[in-house]
Amino acid sequence: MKTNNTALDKLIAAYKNPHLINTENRTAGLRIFGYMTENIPVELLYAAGILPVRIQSGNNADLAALHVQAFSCSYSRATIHQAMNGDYDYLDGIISSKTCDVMMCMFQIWGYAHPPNFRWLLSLPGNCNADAISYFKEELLHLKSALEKHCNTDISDEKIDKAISLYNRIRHTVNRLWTKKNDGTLNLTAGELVRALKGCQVLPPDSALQLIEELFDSGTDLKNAPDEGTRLMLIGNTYADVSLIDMIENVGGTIVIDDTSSVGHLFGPQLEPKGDPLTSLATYYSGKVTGPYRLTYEKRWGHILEMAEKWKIDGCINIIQKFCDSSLFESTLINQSMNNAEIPYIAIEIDDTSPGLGTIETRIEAFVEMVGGI
Amino acid sequence: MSNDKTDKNRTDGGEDSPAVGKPSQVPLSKFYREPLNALMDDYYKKLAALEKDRTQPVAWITTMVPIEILNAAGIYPFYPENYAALCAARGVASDLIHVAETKGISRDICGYATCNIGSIYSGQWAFGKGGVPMPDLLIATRLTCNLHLTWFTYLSRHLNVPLFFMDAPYRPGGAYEERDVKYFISQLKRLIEFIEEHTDRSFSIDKLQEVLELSDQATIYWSEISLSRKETPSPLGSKDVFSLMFPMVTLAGKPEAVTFYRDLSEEVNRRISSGENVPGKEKYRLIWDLFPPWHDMKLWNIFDDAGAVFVIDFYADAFSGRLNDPDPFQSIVGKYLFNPSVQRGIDDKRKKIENLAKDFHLDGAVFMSNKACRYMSIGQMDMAAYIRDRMNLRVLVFDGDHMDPNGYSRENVERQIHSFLELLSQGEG
Repeated sequence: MKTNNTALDKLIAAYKNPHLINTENRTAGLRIFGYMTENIPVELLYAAGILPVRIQSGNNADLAALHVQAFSCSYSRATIHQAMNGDYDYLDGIISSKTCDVMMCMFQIWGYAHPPNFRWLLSLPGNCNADAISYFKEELLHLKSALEKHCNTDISDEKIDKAISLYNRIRHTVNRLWTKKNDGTLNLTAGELVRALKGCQVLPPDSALQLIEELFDSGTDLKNAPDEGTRLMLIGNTYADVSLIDMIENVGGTIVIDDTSSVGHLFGPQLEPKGDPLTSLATYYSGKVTGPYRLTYEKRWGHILEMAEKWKIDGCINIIQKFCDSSLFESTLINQSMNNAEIPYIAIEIDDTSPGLGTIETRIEAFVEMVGGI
Repeated sequence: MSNDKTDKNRTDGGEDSPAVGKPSQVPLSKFYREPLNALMDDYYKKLAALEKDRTQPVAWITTMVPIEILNAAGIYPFYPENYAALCAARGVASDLIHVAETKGISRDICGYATCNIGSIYSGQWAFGKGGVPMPDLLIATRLTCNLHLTWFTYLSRHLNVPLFFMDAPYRPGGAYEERDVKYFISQLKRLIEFIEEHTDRSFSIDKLQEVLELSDQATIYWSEISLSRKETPSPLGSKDVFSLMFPMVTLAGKPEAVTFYRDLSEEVNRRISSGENVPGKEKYRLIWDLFPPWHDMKLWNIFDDAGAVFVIDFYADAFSGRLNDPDPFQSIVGKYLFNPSVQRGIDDKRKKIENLAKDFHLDGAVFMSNKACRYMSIGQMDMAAYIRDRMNLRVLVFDGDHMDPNGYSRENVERQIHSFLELLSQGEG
């Protein structure tokens, strides 16, 4: 791995040591909230003076066995393990939303494993029509009031607008980073970029923005002819082990975009303002395509197809956490839709707590070869 | 039992009922089995008839879709989940799940869904070929598990049938806010619009009110029956309840359900007041968590033989709920959104079980850790620990699967049950 890029080094350091960095941030006086799902309006937290950090998976879930059966996904178990291990002691609060069945239970179990000062479960609607947006806006209003009380601050529209603007700049830059990586003007592997973007999720957003802008600027205008392999898009659940990405690229695949819960869902499209800031947030987050637990399949597939066309993919890999029944089920639909769209597709089941990539590597290699041969 | 609410000649107790005041161990099932079977036969015959002659639209619905709205609109409701349980009880679920697996649907997914999809592909249902009409409408809700959305989306695309997805707020502690109610009612109204848009049926609020009143009456009788389980000995156990729920679930809002539960409630009360409900084999009083392994209801014999009776569960009341608000939509909110058995989190369940332990004089609890139902199973470990360590009761948690015999080791489960019963015999936990 390259180590001569200061911005990249810092981002990867954050990816590798999120707890160390945030323990220091907490000591320095930052108020830190952990969020579990991808539909949390981080802008609102940031406007309240809170550092929102993504609660990430890990490769150990031993301690979680006290609370959660092994048939829960490894993301849920690994986060509980870290909470019980004291890794997340720096969190002042946790926030989640109504998403999958397991995450709703996890939110409650976190309360036993690591009781924070502030816990909030957003009742995220399953639709994104006018009723749903109106409902979610009211939900956000209550969250805003609770945050103001907890942080003893006023969250003005101006502060939210500034936060929206900051996060939009991050989204914009991340989008450009993928483009630059793909066209060969940034000497970066997908594995490095994913690590950097995972690092972004645990850093203060202004620092993260500065680092990814530096990373972007570290590229050259001289276009190197990229040794382009088979252009692949990742979709699906979160995953802990980025060596999965390295492996895909080592067998001839080129990840041109990661639109999984680990990365892409957090740096999704720009938030287009719709009236007042809370309406903007409600509209954006209720309409944001994330996991298969909400929104119509037509909308969800529409998003996947749009991404496939935008990034000119040759094939698609769906990463599914073992035991994620909704994702497993939806994969049969995606498979049909991909067939119709003539996009090669493979779904792989992963377990963050199982060492090694095992048979996945053989399947991916065969898939990449197959796609490359088309 | 009679279908006539005013029938003075109804056969309270029937031939199997003992004479009033005479202590007896005649099981309650002798009283309800025949009329219950008649209700089920009638429902399934009408359902099968619609396969050949579609005199009214058929909607396939998930658990917790307000069935009263469908009955008021003259839509024939069919619950694939309940029907899948029937398939499991009749020993055909495993083959059907396998059919779904051959179509690329993982066996890790809930067997209710995979069994249903296996039936669609194979044409085999609980009683052989046919008997279940394909739907005109599909209606799913987010009131319970998330899989409903994906499962019914799959059905909608495979069968080319319109799907309505009824959204619902979620408050694990049950503290629903005014905005939640408002949003949920908007969903109910959209459901009615969907029915009117896709069928020739027009909707009448007066008819809805009438159906709600009937559903409410059945709930009142059902609640009486449920509360009678506080008696020692309990006049009925969970195995009875799993059978008796059929009208509560499938016939909610129908007069025959009211009559059935009224007669049953009267029989239960009669047995209690006449002293017939004498102590017998009941030695231990237990709570069962959720649904049973439908494919292995004989498992209950092990508990029965040891005098261990499930006097309460989290399942029986999931389909009941008062519907007595003057505003019909508020009534539906009360029954479905505020339902105390679903839409609630672990903390809420812990409080509930603590109260139940006192009210129902519990000695222990049994949980089936159901890998195919993560929605209801995750949280059991904390529940079990709480019951064991804080409430000082015996607890059994065993691995199982409500639908798939392949996900279930009978020998291991039996061994665990025997160990649990042995501990129960030694007294407090």
